[in-house]
Amino acid sequence: MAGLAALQDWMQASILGASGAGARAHVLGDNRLTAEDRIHIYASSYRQRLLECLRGEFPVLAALAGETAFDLFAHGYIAAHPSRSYTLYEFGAGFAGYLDGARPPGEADAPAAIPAALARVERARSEVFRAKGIEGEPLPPSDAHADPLIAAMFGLDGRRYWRPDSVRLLALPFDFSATLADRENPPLPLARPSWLAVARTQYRVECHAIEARQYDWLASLAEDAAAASPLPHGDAGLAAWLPVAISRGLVVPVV
Amino acid sequence: MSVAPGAALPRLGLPDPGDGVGLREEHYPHLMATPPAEWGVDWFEVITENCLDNQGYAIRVLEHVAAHVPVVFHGVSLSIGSSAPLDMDYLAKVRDLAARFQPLWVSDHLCWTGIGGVNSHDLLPMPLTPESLDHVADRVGRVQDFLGRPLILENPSTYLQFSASQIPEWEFLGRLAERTGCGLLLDVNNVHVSCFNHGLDANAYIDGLPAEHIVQMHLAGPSDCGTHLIDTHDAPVPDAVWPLYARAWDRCGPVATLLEWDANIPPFADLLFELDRARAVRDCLTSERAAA
Repeated sequence: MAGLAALQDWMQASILGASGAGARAHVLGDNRLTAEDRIHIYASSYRQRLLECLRGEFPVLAALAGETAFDLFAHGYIAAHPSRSYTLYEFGAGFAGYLDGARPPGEADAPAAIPAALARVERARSEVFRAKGIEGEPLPPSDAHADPLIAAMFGLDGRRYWRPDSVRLLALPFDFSATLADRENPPLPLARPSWLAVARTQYRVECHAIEARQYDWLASLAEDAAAASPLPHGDAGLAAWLPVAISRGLVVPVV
Repeated sequence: MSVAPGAALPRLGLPDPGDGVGLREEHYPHLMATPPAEWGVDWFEVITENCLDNQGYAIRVLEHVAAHVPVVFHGVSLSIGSSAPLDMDYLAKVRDLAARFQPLWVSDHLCWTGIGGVNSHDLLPMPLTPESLDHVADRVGRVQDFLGRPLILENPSTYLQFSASQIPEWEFLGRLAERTGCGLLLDVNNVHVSCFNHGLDANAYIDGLPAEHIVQMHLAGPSDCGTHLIDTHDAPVPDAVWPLYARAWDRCGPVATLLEWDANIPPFADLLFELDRARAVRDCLTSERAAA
């Protein structure tokens, strides 16, 4: 095992470090490809695979930043954070954090903060895509009250609400509405606070701009039907918005 | 080249489901909109890792597909050849997934993917030594015990050979299969790629494998980089692979055949066309046998 372990230790270091040092001691070369060339095939494939993974998960950021800048971000991340999961899906989980840490110091809404904020939105989309959704949940019973709005406002309908796992809530220093609407040629976002709910219905993932009040309420909800809670007493704004929230898969009612 | 009477070959009690393709996201709309009887394939191979920790549409599609045709789970992260300990959390998830979807079998590759917690997401080559054989055989036994089923291992495409290697890959796989009872997935394209890259005789490779352990074959298209081939699964099966498939089928058939296509993925009908070509190759063999 010692020989196998040492060889694998060397090869992994060569791939991660893109170095052919020591290759001739371990790898056969020939007149077509030297030992170093052969290690290089694995080293370049490694980077290319992870780069394509990031391009696939963060397409709007890639389009907004342009290929050169995005690849620079990506290669920095690949070098700093080798994959440690059995699935490539996990690889992009730390990309937004890395971009945040790599940017120059400045205000939260400085232009340099855009990549991390947008990466957070796109990562949320990926997470929601694979999360446990509400596709199998029973439809809520039809409302028997004469005035459903009044009934919801005061909890007279007996309904309580929970937030499914297929929802991600984001409070952002930028408004990405226009950016996300044109994924091919995304414009820069506006530097103003925004609140976003990423959610899934019938396996379709969408980003919904929401208000701060709606964000706060959704964030306060449990992610478990057993711990569902009623609407804040007498909140007409939230009561009026509830049918929209339910139809977008942001909350699930239980009676 | 000996001709084996296929029906008499023991195949670890595993069935021959016929011709299949890899289940890929690009084809979900087609499969969900088309009656299963019109899919034109006998079975699907599913990348195991795409289904772990996933409760999204991929699982909904898999439920639908598995309700109508057999499926097989094909993994890329088992890392059976790694000097790092087996990832028992990963294996537990694979076991749970298999319990839920009842695949015909679970396969992975003779390779390692990383050590020290790192995953290169590549199928890295093993030094083919007696030490490696002991190591992998021990781990295959433990995996089979844990999963409660035979493990099927595929020959990988490789781009380097270690100077420490002492055993030809086909012999390594054969000895591993005999020692552990595991099955083999003969990727004919990988034989073509590795033998081209290392200047080896692809026919000798196929002839050297133990036919009685081969339960599945893979077909795919590589990329020609001039000095070497890369296993990209992004093109039709090249002309050079079909004679190898015929030779392998002659020795090992009938056995499950699967077409892999993972990049530049074409419409589903193009996959069926490649399976038709595989069928034509087999029909030719049958005619030759009858004529002989």
